[in-house]
Amino acid sequence: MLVPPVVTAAALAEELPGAQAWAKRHNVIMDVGLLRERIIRVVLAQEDPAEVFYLQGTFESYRALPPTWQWYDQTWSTNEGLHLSPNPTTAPCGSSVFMNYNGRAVICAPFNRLAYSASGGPHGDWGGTAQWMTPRPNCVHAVTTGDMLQSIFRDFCSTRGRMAS
Amino acid sequence: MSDLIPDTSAKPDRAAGGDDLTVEVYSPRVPEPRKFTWPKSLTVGEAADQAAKAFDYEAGSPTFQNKDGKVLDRKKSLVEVGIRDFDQLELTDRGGGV
Repeated sequence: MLVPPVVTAAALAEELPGAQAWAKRHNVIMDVGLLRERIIRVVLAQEDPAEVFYLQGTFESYRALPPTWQWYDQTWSTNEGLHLSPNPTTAPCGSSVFMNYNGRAVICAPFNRLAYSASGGPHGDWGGTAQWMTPRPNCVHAVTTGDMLQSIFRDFCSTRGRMAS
Repeated sequence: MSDLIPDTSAKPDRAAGGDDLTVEVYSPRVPEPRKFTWPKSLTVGEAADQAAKAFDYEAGSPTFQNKDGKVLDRKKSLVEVGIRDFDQLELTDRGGGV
């Protein structure tokens, strides 16, 4: 563990008021009941078709390392399956952050630890995960919890249905 | 007097909102919004850069997402993208996923 939990907790405590206000503005359900385990959960809903998606952020060693962001089922018991991810259509900012990588649904952005090859993701070209806050040209830049959620939401607004049935 | 000479003494048309517009910008970093007044002709990118700086963003390519969920084009003017007085905008990054 790179960062003591108390340090991560302090970072999250600083960022959460903004993130929670963001969630309220956008009618996004945010659950911080597992904050002691450094977990934040949000529920995002598409209108047409009406589909609900369950997103978990795990903030182990945050902010030295980025969190992991993963889609789950509604009981939060599994994160396996493309059907748990929204399906990107036209992304508003070039490529969507939602991708199918070797049969896995990955939120492909520097702020997701799972996007790095060291964690089984596609990116060996971003350096180590510790460099996650380094700005990259044409690549989404989000370095607080609220900004990450907003970046995911930004592309979520352009999704339709699920990545797989 | 020729009709071709513009009347530069005219005051801004208040009924049309004048040459400026005032908006509320939210950042996902803090709960409270900030108000900004900008010329309508300002580009979204210039306005978003100013807003981002006010919210202490140090990097990225900021823009706004409007109430309809649309991410606004940084190159267009505020009036071109349909921003109106008292609109509420969310600061967001313009960079893509990969």
